Amino acid sequence: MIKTVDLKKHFLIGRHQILHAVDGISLDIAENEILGLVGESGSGKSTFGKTLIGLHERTSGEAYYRGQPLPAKFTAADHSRYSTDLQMIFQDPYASLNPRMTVLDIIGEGLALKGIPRADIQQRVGFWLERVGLHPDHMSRYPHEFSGGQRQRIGIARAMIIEPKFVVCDEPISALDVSVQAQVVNLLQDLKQSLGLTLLFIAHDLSMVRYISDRMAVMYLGSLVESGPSDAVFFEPKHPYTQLLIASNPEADPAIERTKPTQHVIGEITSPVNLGPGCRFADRCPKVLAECHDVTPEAILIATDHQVACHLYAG
Amino acid sequence: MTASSLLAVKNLHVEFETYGGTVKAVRGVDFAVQRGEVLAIVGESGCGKSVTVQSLMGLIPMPPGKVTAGSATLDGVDLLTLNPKAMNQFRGKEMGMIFQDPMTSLNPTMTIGDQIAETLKVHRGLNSTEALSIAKDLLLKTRIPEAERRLQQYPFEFSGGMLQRAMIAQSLACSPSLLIADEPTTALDVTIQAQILDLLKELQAKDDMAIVLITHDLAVVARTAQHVCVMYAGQIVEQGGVDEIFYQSAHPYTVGLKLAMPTNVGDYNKTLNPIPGSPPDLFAPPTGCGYAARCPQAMQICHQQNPPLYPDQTNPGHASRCWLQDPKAPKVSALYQPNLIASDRS
Repeated sequence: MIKTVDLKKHFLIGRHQILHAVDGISLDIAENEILGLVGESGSGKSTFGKTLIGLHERTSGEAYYRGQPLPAKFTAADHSRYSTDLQMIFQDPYASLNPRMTVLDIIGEGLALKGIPRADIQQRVGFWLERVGLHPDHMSRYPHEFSGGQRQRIGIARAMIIEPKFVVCDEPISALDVSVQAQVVNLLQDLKQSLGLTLLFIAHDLSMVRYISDRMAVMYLGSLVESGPSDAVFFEPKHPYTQLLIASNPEADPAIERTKPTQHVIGEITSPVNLGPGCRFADRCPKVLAECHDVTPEAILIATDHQVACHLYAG
Repeated sequence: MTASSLLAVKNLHVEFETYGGTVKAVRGVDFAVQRGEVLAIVGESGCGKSVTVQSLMGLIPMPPGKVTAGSATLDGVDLLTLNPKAMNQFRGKEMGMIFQDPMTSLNPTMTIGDQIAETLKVHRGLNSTEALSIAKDLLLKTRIPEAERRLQQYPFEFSGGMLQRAMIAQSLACSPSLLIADEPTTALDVTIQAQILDLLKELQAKDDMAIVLITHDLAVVARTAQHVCVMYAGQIVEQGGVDEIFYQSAHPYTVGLKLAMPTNVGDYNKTLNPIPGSPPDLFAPPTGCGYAARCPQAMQICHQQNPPLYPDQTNPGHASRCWLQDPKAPKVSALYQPNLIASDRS
């Protein structure tokens, strides 16, 4: 449904320096699946999601939606054309809702732009508020009257009321409490099933991503290191970075944590400024080979639908 | 709660006066920390876990805050009656604290070296040269590479993980017997979180330092703590050893938290069970159990009277504030959902 080929987004940050936020991502997202995208802060996962739906201009590469090429730079006309199909749910439920607009205006804005009469908008906003577990009477309230979880559901209703086909969820649960995270995750899965939605679910909580996603992709410094079925990537990670990332993920079980060997990623993610060729993880990789520093690894298919970009698996 | 406890908090009540009324943020909290152990206080936003430790450190702004009752003794000194000057001398020396957001907790206009040295100069009366040389050792101890160069740098030149290490180094400057860590890894990536948690555990073991770890993440608790207090609506609803909390949970809220989280062992694709509703309004806390409105096992009495803390018959260190533990209550085993996290082990 969504396909990207060698998608790049570079930012010019002055003094002739280039920040390689997204550096050649080729990814397919199938109809009605949830693709979980994980990676550390600064790995470019949010930028990838935003570039995909036209919130950033693409530097190079291609992106397709149902076989149609998406423009590199969205014009106002492109935005209104694609916004009915491509939507986004943002991370911060406090910053992403206009505090001076009522819930009715926030959720109904997309419909109002399409010239739908106000009475119909009210009725549909009421329907969606109920669908996301809020009360239709709440539509005259302002965002500050809601808790974090409720606001996140307002953000979901705003994206869903357009009845999009593909939604980028950028860390939709990171700001929420444990008991509320489950509410939002269950709601997203329910919407996926009932509306046939396709989701790009960006998060850093590995356990939650494994749970919600059909497939999982791991990013490191703008590049895709591994992708495949969620359980395969989580339980049998192949790329050294994925292995270390999964090993760092704590499990809510003291007996397991006590017996777990400490196996750490050494150091921290490096700067994505002015990157040369070679594997992005080479400096920190415990299994580094000579060619890793000079040759950028290609994605290798190692099992059905399971790809790894690592020289260890070449030839 | 033995006489030899390093920190003993008894019947702590903290309130905040606001325009909307009085918020009863902490409503009678009792716990003890032994020397050299890690105690985790776990709970969701607004449960009072941060307010509890901030009141121990004298960091509650008064007004609007007010400690209305209770005592907290660290090594025989009552922290709640210290005057601000005595508190200033005590804080940093006997107890250190690290915060959730290292980016905003350090002074952006001072070098890292000067900030650590300042602690040493104030509390140990060292001169600048001595203080800086110890600051360098502290950076090495918290595994900051190129410590010499890092001393001269400002916070903006550090990454989040490195800043948290620098803050740990600063809090360790006077070898405190108690370190309070308020969500120390919440702002960090999972790989850095693992590094920081292991660093804390290692320092705790090496220096016999006690740590009170505030967190909302049960996985962090499982990785780090020996003892756990679960807080809800300003009270401790369950406390005990880490295994008892995870494998023999005695409070429906603890069970609810576990059922709401994804797990990667056992039945790992089971549907998550969110806890319905939201925590009670602490302007007017319920007369009954704070969790009753959301509790799947709530009985009539739960809405009327707040339960006392019931210690486990066989293991008094494990206690739960739940009417189900009363001898007159229906048999708990019949009411409980199976312990899904480690059904094979409990």
